[in-house]
Amino acid sequence: MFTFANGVHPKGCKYLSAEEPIMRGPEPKQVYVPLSQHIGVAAEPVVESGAYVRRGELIGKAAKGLSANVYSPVSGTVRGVVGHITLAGKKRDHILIENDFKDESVSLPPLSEISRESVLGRIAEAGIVGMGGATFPTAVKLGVEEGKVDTLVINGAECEPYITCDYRIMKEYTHELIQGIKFTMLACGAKRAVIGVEKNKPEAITVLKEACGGEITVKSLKTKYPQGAEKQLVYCCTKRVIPEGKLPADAGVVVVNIHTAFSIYKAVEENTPCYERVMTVSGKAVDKPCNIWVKNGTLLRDIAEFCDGKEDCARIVSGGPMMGEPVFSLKVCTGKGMSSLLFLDETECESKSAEPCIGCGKCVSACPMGLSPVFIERALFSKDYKEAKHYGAEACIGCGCCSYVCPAKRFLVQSVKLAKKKIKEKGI
Amino acid sequence: MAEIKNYNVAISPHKLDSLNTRRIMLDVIIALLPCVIIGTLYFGLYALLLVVICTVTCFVSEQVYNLVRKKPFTTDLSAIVTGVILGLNLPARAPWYLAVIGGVFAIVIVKMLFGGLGKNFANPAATARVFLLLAYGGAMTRFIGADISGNLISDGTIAATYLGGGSVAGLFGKEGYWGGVLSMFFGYTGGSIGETCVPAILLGGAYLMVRRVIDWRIPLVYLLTSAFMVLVCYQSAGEILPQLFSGGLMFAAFFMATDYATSPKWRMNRILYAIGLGVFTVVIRRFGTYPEGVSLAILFMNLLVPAMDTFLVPVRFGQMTKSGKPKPQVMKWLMRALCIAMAATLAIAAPVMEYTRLTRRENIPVSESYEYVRSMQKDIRGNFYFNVQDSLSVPGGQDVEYNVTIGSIYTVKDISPVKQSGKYKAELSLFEGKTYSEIEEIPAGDMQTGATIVNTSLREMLLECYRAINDAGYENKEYTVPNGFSYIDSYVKAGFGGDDLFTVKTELKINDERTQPLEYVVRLKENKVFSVLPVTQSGRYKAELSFFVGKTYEEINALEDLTVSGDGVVSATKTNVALKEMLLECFLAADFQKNALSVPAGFQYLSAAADSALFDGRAYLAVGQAAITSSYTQPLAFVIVLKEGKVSEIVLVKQSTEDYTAELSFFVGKNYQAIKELTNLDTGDPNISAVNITLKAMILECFIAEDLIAGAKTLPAGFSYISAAADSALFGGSAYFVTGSVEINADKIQKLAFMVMLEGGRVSSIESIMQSGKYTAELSFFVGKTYEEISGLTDLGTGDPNTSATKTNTALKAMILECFLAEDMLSGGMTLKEDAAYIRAEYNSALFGGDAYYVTGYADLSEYNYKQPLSYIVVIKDGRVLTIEPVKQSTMGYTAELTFFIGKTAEVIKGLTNLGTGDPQTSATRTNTTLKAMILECFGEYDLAGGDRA
Ligand code: SF4
Ligand code: SF4
Repeated sequence: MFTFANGVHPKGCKYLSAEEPIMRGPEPKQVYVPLSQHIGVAAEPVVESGAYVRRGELIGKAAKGLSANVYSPVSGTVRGVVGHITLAGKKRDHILIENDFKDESVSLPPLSEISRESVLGRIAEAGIVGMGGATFPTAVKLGVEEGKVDTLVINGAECEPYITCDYRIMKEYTHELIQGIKFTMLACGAKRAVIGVEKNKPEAITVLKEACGGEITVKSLKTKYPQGAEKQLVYCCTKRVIPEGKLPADAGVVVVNIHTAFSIYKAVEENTPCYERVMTVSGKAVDKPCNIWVKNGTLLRDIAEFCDGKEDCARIVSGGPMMGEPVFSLKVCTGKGMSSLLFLDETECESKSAEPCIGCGKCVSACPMGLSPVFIERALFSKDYKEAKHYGAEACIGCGCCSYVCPAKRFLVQSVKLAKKKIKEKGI
Repeated sequence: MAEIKNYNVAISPHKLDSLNTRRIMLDVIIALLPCVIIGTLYFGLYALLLVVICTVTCFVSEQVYNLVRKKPFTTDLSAIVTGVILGLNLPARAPWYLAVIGGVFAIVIVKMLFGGLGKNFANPAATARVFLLLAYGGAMTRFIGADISGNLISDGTIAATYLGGGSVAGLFGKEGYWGGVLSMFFGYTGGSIGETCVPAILLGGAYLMVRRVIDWRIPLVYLLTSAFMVLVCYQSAGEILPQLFSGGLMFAAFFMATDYATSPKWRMNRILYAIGLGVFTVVIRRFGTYPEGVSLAILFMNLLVPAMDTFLVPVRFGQMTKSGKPKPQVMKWLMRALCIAMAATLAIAAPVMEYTRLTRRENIPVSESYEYVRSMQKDIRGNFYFNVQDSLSVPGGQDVEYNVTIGSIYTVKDISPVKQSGKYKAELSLFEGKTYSEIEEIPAGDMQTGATIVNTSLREMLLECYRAINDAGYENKEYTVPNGFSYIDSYVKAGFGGDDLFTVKTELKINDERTQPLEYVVRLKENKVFSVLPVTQSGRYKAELSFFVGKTYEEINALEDLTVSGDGVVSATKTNVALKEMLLECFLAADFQKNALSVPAGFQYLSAAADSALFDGRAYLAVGQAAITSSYTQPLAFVIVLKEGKVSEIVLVKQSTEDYTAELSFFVGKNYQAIKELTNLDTGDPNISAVNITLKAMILECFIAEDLIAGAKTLPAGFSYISAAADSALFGGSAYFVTGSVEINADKIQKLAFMVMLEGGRVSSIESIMQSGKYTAELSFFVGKTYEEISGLTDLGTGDPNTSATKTNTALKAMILECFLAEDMLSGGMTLKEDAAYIRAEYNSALFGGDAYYVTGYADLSEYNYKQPLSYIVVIKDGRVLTIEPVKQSTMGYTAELTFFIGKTAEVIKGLTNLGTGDPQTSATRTNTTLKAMILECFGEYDLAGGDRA
């Protein structure tokens, strides 16, 4: 089967939540809606303390530059802009809203006509960002100049273990998704779209194949991590190689996540802005693994309580186990890009302590980018950044395959990332 | 919910592969178990013990090292892996301390000192094996094997491994090639503990590949390349499987070459690495001196790994060349192409090639007359294999038999007893690893005990093995045999012991129809016949060697009765007679070789001279021909012995088979004059007279040579004609032996040799030694004349139309003048100089009346690959060059322009810059340049001496 080089095969563990239909998630008493749920500049708050907001009402306006609108996920009273801890451990501005459980809502005005401009405008207006985790404002990504892009690649690979939210969307909202993809194509000017789905989701492939047609095709991909990484995905779906240091658009491709396409559908067709998302809550330490709609700004604790996630588990992770970030406190709130919350027990994750490198070369064989992590690490330790560059540190996508395979459990991704940063800093 | 959290916060990735270092090492140990078990089954519990000792040593030495260096203990099991692998690499009967030494070496020196796990660049087990092989070669190559029912093949000694040149028995009723291959596959052959049984290795290797512990590329490509290289290097498809299944190749491919730290990290580099391993392994096996190349190949490739890792890096995904094109995956395609090409070649060539095995050992026929050596073989690597046997005279008698291997570097590689007393065993370590001379110097020791006798006998046997090597023509130093001998085909100095070894050959005439070729190898030692080894002789009429062996020249010469009882047709007797002559000739040749005197060049007959040890006096070997009839010339050679001015003995060396034997009584006991005056050499048989005439000429030549040698005077080198100078006892005065040649016509060059006698500044007489029979020199032109008179002679014509005689005269004139120059030197208080650049001698010249310097040198014509020798006599008087006399310079016309220099002072000559003579080739200019330097050197000497001496 045509695929990219190297990569790893972690256990999928998707069975935990794959068959759980998407349900409503917790109704939090209060939400801390982060003003920065995207890459770039934080949104500017447009509501004052004490103001009453409805669900779907704009509370944060996109700032100048790279930014995105933020909408209220509940109806209730604004309790002000407060500093609240984020996943990265930093205090950032959040808008605290007290839920009145009345669930009053507003929608965006319907679009008068469907054209490239209007759809792009709606995407920007609705505050849609890359919902696979990158949180790049989608309107910017799609707004490439006319004719530059001919293919839209929809990332349905969902290569990270455990996560099933995209899978559920593909299955349950198939037609909406297809509609969303059509809007996306319109927005970016692509003539065809390829939905890349890993083979371990045969049902999704079947339903999508039935539903799609014309310029939209479904491509089943080898189940291999990191199948969902942009360059690898584009390569597998279109056989195009994105040159180093270039964007997919330079290869005539735009990559959009399933959930993003779905959100575009909701924004364009249902006039619903982006204030909630489907999340997978999974892991062996959670009693009820599920796929649920979670409002932006929900405390993780609320989710844990909703699903009976145990706090005395081995590790809590936001995002997938390969690249996801550790959760150090359940006080953190969700955002547009948080696709899953995992409660892992001891059998699912190892607490590692680095041993001496035994030189097995498995990291070299695993790196999908063709780097030599072992030598990059050695170069880093001897502060020879030129050497690190020689072994390709700059091209690292941070997928973590190297760390995954290393029998000595070395912190290779971190080393390579650090080397990459140092190279950039030193301008070598 | 309380804020108490039990969960860890750790960085991604949160899921890790289940393989960890310990697990990997454990997997390797598991994979090694089949080999360990089979090794124990085949070789017994001692083999297991060895592996255990090695493992424990490795583990303990790693921890001790950690303790000493104050590092934490290691728990990663890698030391155990190294230990087991090294243990399996040991021969099953290796002494226990090898396991200990090897283990410590592998862990401490190769691994820990380089920083421990993962940081060593050389494979610990392979390096330790190489180390042990170099340090304990004997013990490390004494393999045993086991047969199918678990019985050891040659317990305690050696099972010849296939690589060591042994053959392998069949299996499952299959014999021959496939039987051997099957045996090797299942490990019923000699080898290290773990490396013989291929199924066990494959089982372990497959396990490791399934567990993803090792990269399948290394073993498979290694084996593929090895197979391919075997095909190429051995030119035989039948060699492939035996080579793959023998030695450590299989084991190393799966367990040693795949070692993480010491193999490359990128997959393509691993293929390259494996290809390199295959190439080196087979090349070392085929062309190297060691039968086994695996460990060396691994070690060598290990050295290249860092370079491969640095310079051959994977192409990154999306990597562009400078010109913006996708970077091509050169390595990937290259490696693929290589592997496919090798596989294809094998697939095509292997089925169509013949399945014959190389004859790995060539039998060298050994003579029955050896005391101990019964058989001798040599393999393609130059190792010699002997079977030696002896009967010992211990009480009750004892037969002993050994197999001896002498390596290609001529040390005793191995001795394995085949038969010896249970009680008195030879002390093999006395001899193993020793060279010939070391064995020769082992003192014979006390002969009282049985074992000593065994040792003594073994020593004798080994020495005989070495002699057999020499006798078979290996490792000898060749002597040049002087012309004139009839039988000697080659004469060498034996490489071991320095004895004289001759190969003598002849064609013996049995009767009119039949001749019998004879060939013997004769060994002379301490002036006695040490051995005679028949190479070719009649099966029926063999020489009776006991007549000769142990005898001296005189004793053999004195042998009269060589008849063999019961030899009706006297063929054996004839063989004996021929052998006697051959032996005598060997003695003569050895005499001339050992006591050689240099004979001045230019004689017609003399081929060698010696201060003879065989004869009383000085021996000359004279070789010539006698023209018997117009169609038959009789080759002749004599040893002529002179003593006190008389012929004391004449020995025939080569004579007619037709009975034209010289009449020696004419000559023996006579002096030069008497022989010279002999005119009647007639014995009634004209043929014999012809022989006598030649002999007479030869004897006269001997006298001349004797005269020259006895009264020899030293002259510096560099003369054109003079080959020797002497105070002549025969003719009185100073004698000069001059040689030269004249070109008669384009085809014929006439060699000339004369004895020129000078006395009182005049030519007193001239003896002609060699010149054309027809155009002889007119001696009367010269005899009685002085230097001036002769140099003034212009008309040397003799009315000879061909002017050949005139040419001869001209040559003779030049020769005589040279003699005068030499005489001038010798009588002018000549002092020889050795340290000057050009000056060879200085003297006071009576001829020229000044301080004379004899200079020699070269005109450098190196662009023509030539150096023109130059010799001059430079005479200085009153601070000026009085004259320059050329002795030797180019005959091609590039002679020095003497007028540049004559009459000038040192200053003037020093100032000379233009030495050109218009000579386009500048040869004359170069001659002038050299001459200038010579003259300046003479002036230097002249100044040192403070001006004129004369
Ligand atoms: S070096 Fe970077 S790209 Fe390569 S495997 Fe590691 S994290 Fe992934
Ligand atoms: S995978 Fe780990 S142990 Fe193996 S070479 Fe890479 S860093 Fe070293």
